[in-house]
Amino acid sequence: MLEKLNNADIRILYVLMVIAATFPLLWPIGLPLPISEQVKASYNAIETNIKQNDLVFIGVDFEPTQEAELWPQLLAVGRHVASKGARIVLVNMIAGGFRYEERFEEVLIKQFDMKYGVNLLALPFSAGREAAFQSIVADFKGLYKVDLHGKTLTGFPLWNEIKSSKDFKMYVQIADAPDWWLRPMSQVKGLLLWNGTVASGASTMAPLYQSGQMCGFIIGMSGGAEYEVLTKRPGPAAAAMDAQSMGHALIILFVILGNVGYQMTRRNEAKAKKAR
Amino acid sequence: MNETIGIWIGAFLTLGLFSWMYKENAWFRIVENVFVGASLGHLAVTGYQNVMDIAWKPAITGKYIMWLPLIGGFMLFSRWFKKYTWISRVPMGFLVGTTAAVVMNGAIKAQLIEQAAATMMKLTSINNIIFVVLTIAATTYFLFTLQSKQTGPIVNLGKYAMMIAFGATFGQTVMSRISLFTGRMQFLLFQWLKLTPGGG
Repeated sequence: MLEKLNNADIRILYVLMVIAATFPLLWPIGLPLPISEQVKASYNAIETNIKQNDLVFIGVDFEPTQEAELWPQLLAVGRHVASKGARIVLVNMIAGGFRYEERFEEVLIKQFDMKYGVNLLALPFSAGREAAFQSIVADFKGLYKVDLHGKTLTGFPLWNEIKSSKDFKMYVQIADAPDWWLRPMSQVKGLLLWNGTVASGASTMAPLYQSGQMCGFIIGMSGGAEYEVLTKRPGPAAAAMDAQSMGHALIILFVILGNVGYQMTRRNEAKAKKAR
Repeated sequence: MNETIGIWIGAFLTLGLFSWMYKENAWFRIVENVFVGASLGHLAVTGYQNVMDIAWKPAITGKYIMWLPLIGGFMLFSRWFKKYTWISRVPMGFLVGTTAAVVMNGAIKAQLIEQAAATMMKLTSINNIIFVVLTIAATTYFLFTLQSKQTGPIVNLGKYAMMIAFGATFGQTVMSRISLFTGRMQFLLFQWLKLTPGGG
C-alpha cells in the first residue's frame, strides 16, 4: 500500500487537482468566506480617507500571467474608489499593463459615468520602473506629454488642474509584489499608500503594511474575493473561492500523505538495516 | 467575431500547456515556443517604441540632452566586439551607479529606518513580544563575526523563525499557483465552453 502510494503516477494527482478545481466552479459548494481583519482595515482606509473629488492614483502594474489574481482586485478596489466620487488617474509601469488600463477605463466610464479627461485619466506605460516612479515624485507633469491613447495631455481639464504628485490623496498599487514603487512613492508627503498584490508576493509586502507604511494591503485572489463581498459586488474572485479552497485542501492532503509515506519508508529502511 | 477567434486561440494555447501534465509532447512545445516568441516580440516592440518616443523623437526635435542616453545605449552594443568591449563599460557604469542611487534614496527610509522603527514596539502583548524576540533572533543568525557557540540558542530560534517564514511563503506561492489554475479553468469553462455555474 505504502509502496503504491510512494510510486503513484503523478498524473493521478493532476487529475485529482483538475477535479477539485473544476467541480466547485460548475457546482458551487457555498463554503463560508470570512472577511479578514486586514481586508476590513484596507477597505476602511479607502472608506474613511477618500472624499468626493480627491485625486487618487491607481497603478495598473500587472500582465496576463497575474490576471487571475489581480484583475478581480483592480475591479473591486477601483470600483470602491470610484464610488467615493474620487478623480482617478491610472498609471502603468509594466509593459503589459496597458491592456488592463484600457479595460478598467471602460468599466469606470460605463458603470460610474465618469468623464474621461474630467474625472478620469489614463497615462501610458513609462519605462524604468523605480526610476519612473522617482520621476513621478520629482516632476510628475514633466514625465508625461500624452495620455494612453496618444492625445496631448494639456487638452484635458483634469491634467491642467494637477500641479504635482503632492495633489494626490492616495496611491493604490495593484501589482505583482515588488516594492520598487513603494520606495519612491513613500517620499511624497501626505500620500497614502495602498497595495493589492499576488499571494506569492505577500511575504515581501506584508512587513511594509505591518510597519504602517501602507494603509491598505490585500493578497491574491482571496483578498480580491473578500473585497468583492465587502463592496457587495461578488465577482470572479468570490466565484472561484470554493475551487481555491478545494485545491488547497487537496494540496494539504498531498503534503500529509507525502510526509507520512516518507517517514514510514525511513522507518522500514531502518528496521531492515537493523535486521541485517 | 474577433473575440470568438481570440477565445479559441486562448483555449488552444491553454490546453496545449495543460497537455504537459499527461506527458511532454509536440503541442506543448509549440505553445511554449509561441509564448516565448510572443513575449520577446512584445518586449522588442515596446522597447523600440520607448526608445523612439522617449529619446529619439525629442532628440531630433531640439531636445539635445536626449542624444546622451541614445549614444550611451548605442555604446552598450560594443560588447559584441571583443576589441571594443571596454566602450560598453562607460554606460554600464552609469546605469549601475544611477540605479544604486535611485534605489538607495528610497530604500534607506522605506526599508531600513521605517522597518527598524516598526520593530520598536511596546512589549504589552504576546504578539509584540514574539515579534521583537523573533526579529532579534533572526537578525542574530546573520552576525557572521560571532560563532554559534557565542550566540547560543538564540541563533537556533532565529533559524526556526525563518523556517516558519519560508513555510508561509511556500503556502502563499501554492495559493498563487492554484489561483492561476482556477483562473484558466474559469476561462475554459465559462468563456470557451460557455457553461454556467450550476452545470448548465
